[in-house]
Amino acid sequence: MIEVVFRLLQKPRAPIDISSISPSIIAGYTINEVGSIAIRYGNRVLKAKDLFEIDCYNHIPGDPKLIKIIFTGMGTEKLWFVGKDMEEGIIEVHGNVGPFAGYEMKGGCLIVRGCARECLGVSMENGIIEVHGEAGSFVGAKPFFSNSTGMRGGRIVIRGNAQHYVGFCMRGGYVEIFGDVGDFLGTKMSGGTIVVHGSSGAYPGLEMINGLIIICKGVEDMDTGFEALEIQDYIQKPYSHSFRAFVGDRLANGFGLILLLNGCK
Amino acid sequence: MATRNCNEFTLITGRTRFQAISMESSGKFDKEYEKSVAVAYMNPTDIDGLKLNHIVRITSNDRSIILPVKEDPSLPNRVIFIPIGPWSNFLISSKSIIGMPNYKSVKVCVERVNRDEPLPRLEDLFADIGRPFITFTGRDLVQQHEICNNDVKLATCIFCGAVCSNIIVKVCGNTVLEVLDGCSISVSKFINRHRNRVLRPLIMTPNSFEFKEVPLPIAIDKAADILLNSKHPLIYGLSSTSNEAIEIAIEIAKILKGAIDSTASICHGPTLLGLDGATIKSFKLDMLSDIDTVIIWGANPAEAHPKLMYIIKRYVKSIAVVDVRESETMKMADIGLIIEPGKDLELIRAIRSMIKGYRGGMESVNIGTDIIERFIKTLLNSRKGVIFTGLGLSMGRAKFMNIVELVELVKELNNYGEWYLQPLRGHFNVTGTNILLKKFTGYPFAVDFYSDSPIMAPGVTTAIDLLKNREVDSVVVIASDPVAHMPNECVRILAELSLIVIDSRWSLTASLADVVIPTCLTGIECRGSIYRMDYEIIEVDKIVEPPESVLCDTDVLRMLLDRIKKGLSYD
Repeated sequence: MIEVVFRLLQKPRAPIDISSISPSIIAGYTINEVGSIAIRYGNRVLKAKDLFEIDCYNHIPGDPKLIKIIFTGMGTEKLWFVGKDMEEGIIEVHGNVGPFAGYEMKGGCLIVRGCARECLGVSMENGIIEVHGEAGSFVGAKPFFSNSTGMRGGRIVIRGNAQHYVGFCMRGGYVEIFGDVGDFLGTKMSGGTIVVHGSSGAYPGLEMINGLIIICKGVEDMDTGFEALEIQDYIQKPYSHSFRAFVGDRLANGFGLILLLNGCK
Repeated sequence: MATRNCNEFTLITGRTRFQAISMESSGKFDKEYEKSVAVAYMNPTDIDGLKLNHIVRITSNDRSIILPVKEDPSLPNRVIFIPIGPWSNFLISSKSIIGMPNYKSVKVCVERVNRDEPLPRLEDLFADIGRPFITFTGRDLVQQHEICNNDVKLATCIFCGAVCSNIIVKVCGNTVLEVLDGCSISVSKFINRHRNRVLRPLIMTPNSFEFKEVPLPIAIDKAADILLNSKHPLIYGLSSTSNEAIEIAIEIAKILKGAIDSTASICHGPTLLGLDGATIKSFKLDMLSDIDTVIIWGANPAEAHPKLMYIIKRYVKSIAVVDVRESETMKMADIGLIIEPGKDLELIRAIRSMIKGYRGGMESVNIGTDIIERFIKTLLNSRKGVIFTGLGLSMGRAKFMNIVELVELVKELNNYGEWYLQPLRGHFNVTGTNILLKKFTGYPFAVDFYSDSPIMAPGVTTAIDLLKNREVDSVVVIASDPVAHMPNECVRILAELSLIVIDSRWSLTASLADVVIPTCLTGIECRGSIYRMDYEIIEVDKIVEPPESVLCDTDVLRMLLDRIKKGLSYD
């Protein structure tokens, strides 16, 4: 794996649209060609070398699968659209990442060694996103006022907590959150799986049609649109109270499944 | 929050008629405005229970403020109401979920304080954001009404989103003498149009924080220089100007590759998100005479849209109101449902469950089943009905989900009768900002042009979040006063950035600006077209001559656009 390191020269004062840097784009480039990639910094268009100190071999391999891009330095949270439309290879952010990371991602791997802001993995199709810190609202969601859908495939793993509306209009794929999540988890979900190791805020699964939500440490409030399944009798004694299963949202004629576990690891 | 002496209350903020009238008559620097917004309303039993000495300390998010307290028996116990303004915003956190801070149902601690504790003045709030208090409060126009024929003119009221036509005004020279057939806010708006005006462009001298009068071309040059040097400007406001001006503002945002947001993002923005993809028939206010039932949910039109409420009362057989307190509107209603703050979603879903024939859901809303059953009976037995929604829904905890559920309810009610959903919009042309932004960019508010194609994401490109995360480096405020309506933290950041204010009247925001460019009032001194809350286009005319050498919003914005184009060397 060949590393290409982009270190921010100084803390940006406006958002940087970094979607023009991904393994598939820079594959086969020389270091000079990488340095002259046009990047939008606020309303200016700058060359990559004006914003970043770029550290890599003179020639970048032609196969994007062998490329690992690292964004680092002060102010990585101003990098918007990291890994947008990404297909192959690895992008790693050493620090926090701005909104729209992994937007419409189609493959490859995005690792954030910090926190992610809103709209992580929006309309994601495939690939893996791993966030070591916390994530904002609308993880794997559908963008508003557009014809696209929520996350359709791939995998998002968040080591910390996530905010509200995780998996809004999600259609497929897998989201795993090791911390807690906010309100309205899996709203309008029609497929895919969300696993929350911590607890969830109010009303998971509103208007849910299909899909699976597993919550390990309790829910603040469960909506009455979900019907508890009476399956306790079929489970062996010591485990019969280890989980509760709900089907809904019946108000949306949905058959989504929510499992509430007690003390799952 | 649960400290030893904490008496936990739920804070709700909102508009009142007194606040609107004082704001229009004497301006926001006046004692009257302070009297109308620097006050906390509580239920008398709570006041007695806490043994309050006319004043109270309210603490939230590690910030506390002392305010005079007034009795309001309509409020439920353990709920405190503060009219929206710089005092209430001191307690509001800028943390937003979808670009909308939590203005309703904020958990606060309420404490008894001694009678002699000093109350914070506007000066103290300005000191807190690190800016000296400007004593200049605008100038009053000289009224010329000695010789005239008492012209009677038909006008359109330009205060709230109902945009009432056929207001009769008596005009003499450049003075509006009398307003007939208008509500109290409308009267205040027309009669006081000459007060607290900015008559010459102003530029703030750096460091000394003093304003200097300059000719218009110099102010435009200065504003254009700020914007041309800015990497990511934000254009904010626009809800109180004409469609023509909004179109130019969108053009400016586009060529500067900046962000543009209307006041809708901290108002009915969540409503628009909830209506995304909804397929329900659009409502027209003219249809009110044919409506059987009106449901008013989380709104108080009796105070905020008085004439609309009068029309509803006159034509509609049955009125039901859902609110957190017994508002003026609820007093006029046939059915009133008082719910706990933030429980709207539960109630909507409980009603949907009952209509679908499911049991359960009633326990969480804490309202008697008989009254809900009566409410549902009204819903199901109406031939034609409309649900008016207010900020109680869009600002509650569930925000746009309230509207998503309400849209589903309307769809289900359409199996029984003909039902519509209509948000009660605040500013007279906030609907215009949404329609025009949607037409030109595909998004109704909070649009950012900095990327290759316009982007919009609530919580990212919304004005509150752009400010809070310091994503913008200059701000143009057009016909709006965010300092009075945004959370204190955002106001602090606004004070640090380069700020250009284009407005007809002196405002709290203008006092923090680097450049202030005066304009005329659309609908009184300038003509233009505006969109009413039901998407009806309305042409407004001028009824008096504008102040000398002051231009309309469209002319000022066009000058600014031309100057920016020149700076960017456009053809």
